Amino acid sequence: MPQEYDSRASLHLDVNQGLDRVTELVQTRLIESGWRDQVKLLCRKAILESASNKHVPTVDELIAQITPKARAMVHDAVKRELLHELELILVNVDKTGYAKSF
Amino acid sequence: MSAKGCLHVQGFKRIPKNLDTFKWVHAVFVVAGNRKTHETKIFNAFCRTCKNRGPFLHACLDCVYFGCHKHIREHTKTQKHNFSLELTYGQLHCSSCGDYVYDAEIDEMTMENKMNASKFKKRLFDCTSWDATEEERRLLSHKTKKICITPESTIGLRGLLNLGATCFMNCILQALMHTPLLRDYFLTEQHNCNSVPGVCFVCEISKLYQEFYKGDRVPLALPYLLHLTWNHAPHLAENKQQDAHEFFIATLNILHKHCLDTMHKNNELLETENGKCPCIIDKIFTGGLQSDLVCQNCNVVSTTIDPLWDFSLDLGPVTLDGKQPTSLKAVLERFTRAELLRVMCSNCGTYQESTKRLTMKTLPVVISFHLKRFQHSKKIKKKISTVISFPEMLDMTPFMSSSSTECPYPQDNRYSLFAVINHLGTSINVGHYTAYVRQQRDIWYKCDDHIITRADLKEVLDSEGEIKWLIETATPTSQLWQESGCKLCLKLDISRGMFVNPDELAELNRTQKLQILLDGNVDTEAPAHEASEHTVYVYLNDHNIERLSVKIPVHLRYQRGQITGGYGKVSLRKPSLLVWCPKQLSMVCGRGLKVEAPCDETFSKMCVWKNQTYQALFDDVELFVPVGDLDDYPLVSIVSLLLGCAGCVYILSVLSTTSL
Repeated sequence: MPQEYDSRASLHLDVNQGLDRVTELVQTRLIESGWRDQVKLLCRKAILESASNKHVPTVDELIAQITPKARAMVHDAVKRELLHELELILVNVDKTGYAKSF
Repeated sequence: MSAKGCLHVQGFKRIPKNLDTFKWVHAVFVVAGNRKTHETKIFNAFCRTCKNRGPFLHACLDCVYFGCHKHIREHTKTQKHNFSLELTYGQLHCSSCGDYVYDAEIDEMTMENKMNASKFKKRLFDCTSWDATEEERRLLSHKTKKICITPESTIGLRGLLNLGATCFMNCILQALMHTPLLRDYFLTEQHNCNSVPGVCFVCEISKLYQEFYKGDRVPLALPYLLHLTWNHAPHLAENKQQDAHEFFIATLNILHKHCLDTMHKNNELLETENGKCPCIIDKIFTGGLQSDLVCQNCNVVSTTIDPLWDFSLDLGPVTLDGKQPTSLKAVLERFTRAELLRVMCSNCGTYQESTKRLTMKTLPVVISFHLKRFQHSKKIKKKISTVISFPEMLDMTPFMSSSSTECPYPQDNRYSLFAVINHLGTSINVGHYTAYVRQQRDIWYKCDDHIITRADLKEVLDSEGEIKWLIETATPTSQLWQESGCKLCLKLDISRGMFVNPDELAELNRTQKLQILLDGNVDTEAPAHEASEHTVYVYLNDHNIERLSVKIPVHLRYQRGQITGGYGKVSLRKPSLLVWCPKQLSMVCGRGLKVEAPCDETFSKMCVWKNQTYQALFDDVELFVPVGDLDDYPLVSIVSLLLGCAGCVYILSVLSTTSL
């Protein structure tokens, strides 16, 4: 059941462009809170560090290296707002009759 | 990635088929501009290995495979497929280089896709640079002022001066000015006018948008627009308060017409829309109303779909449970519930009890609801001021036609409120229109002619709301009708098998004030085969034109006898409805067939009328008349001769015995 609900919710998000909306919102908030610049800086540092070892990292390596740090840096306010926004959208999964033909 | 660029991409680009594939995948899965591609994306964009929708979903460009970050790398490694496309930002990954690669030509292609998308997606433009052309730089140097939109900014709000009872126009214009889609259409200058300057209504509206959004705060006076409206919709040309709904419909009509007129050069565009009007008004406001007629006898359903621009909702006191509806939902439920009718069933060929039900086949982008607060029955005109509550978010799903099988996934039919128009005042003839509009997200303003004040959502939802969205009160059509100077006439062709009695018509003329003209000589005694056809014209000038019943007595004639007797058939055709309008109003009459008929009941001169279609309670009627049997002729004639003789003898004998 949780899995089924999960796929239903993710379909709902996709179908109604909810995911797009949320993504855009989060993106704006992350830029506003300075998170993007911080991550940029981290990436730059990481590249410089490995450049001193005569190796240019690939994007995949960078992703693997930076992601855990970047995740930790997201402001709590942004997380809360995202949660609230998702809740608002998901409450409507049942409310507006989307679920009926699933 | 090395500084020289990726050699593998050069090889990839040499094969044109590869580029086509890339372009298509990018258009569908990265940009996903229109509905169809969006649908395709939803059904296909998930990792084929772990069934998740992310993170970093990639599409393989060599085979049909989608994968999340981990699985696409495994896939390209094991299958030796070189290229994959990242689906969120549209970056190309080369597994030989082990990294994402850039290429000028590929960048150009993706840019083209992004620009052609019907919807702007910010994330796609985040990482692209804009190289302004010489002309753009020149333009930019002229405009140095930065405008920042905050909740306090008033950009887009302009008061409109009242030019003497023009608040009906002001409130509709305010609502139109704040219709997001129309605003986008006009501010991006999509309307390319090729007509004479100063005639096109669309251009005038376009100018008005520029005025509204340029940041000035001085109220505007719109004498020119008013003049243009009067020219194009003469029934509104009067220096007094008009009905806002009437104006709204007239405006849409004019905009629609002018849009089409100025578009005729792009014939391709007209064809691609497969029969649907491509103009902006129809794209935004037109929905499809489906009416299902179910015969109770044979259960055959006949379905018709009509386009509509707005819902006119009755608020009359009659409901199923005897209560007056108090919410928009209840009013809509009433609008879409099944109705019992007695109509001709095309399958059974007889009149049967049928149910008629209205549902929405297609929903427009912008719905306008018009609550008919002005009741207009016979001589009583009054305003229904029941409070109809309406939500900020309305779900139209319950009112959709049930057979929505074409779409495999449930649709979002929710609408959010952006404008309400109110009529203040207690009667039809006096009153004032104000509008509430939504500016930015969730900030409401009340527009009362030139005064614009901030309002909150609660105030908006508590208002009476005559035109939800956009539209409100109906000045009764009949009043408008009388002002227009048009004439209506029913033309009834009487066949040889029947007749109308001129004396009875004269009586009707006198008692019921019906203006009836009889064309042709009527011999009331003549049998069917000797009589001539004639025509009855009924002039309906002072009547309520929305619904009307006229009673004309018709008599059947004797029919010539036949060998086996039986019944003769006489048919009465459905009367044709003729309309005549003064010259400048010919558009009201529409495209009816032209018919020549007397102008009025005095038969003084002939006019050219237009034949209109209308809904009648019956179509053609067939009557059966008993006919004499010629086989009985000898018997009947002998018996009548004998009876005649016997009668004579009796009378003579009585006369001779009575003393005079």
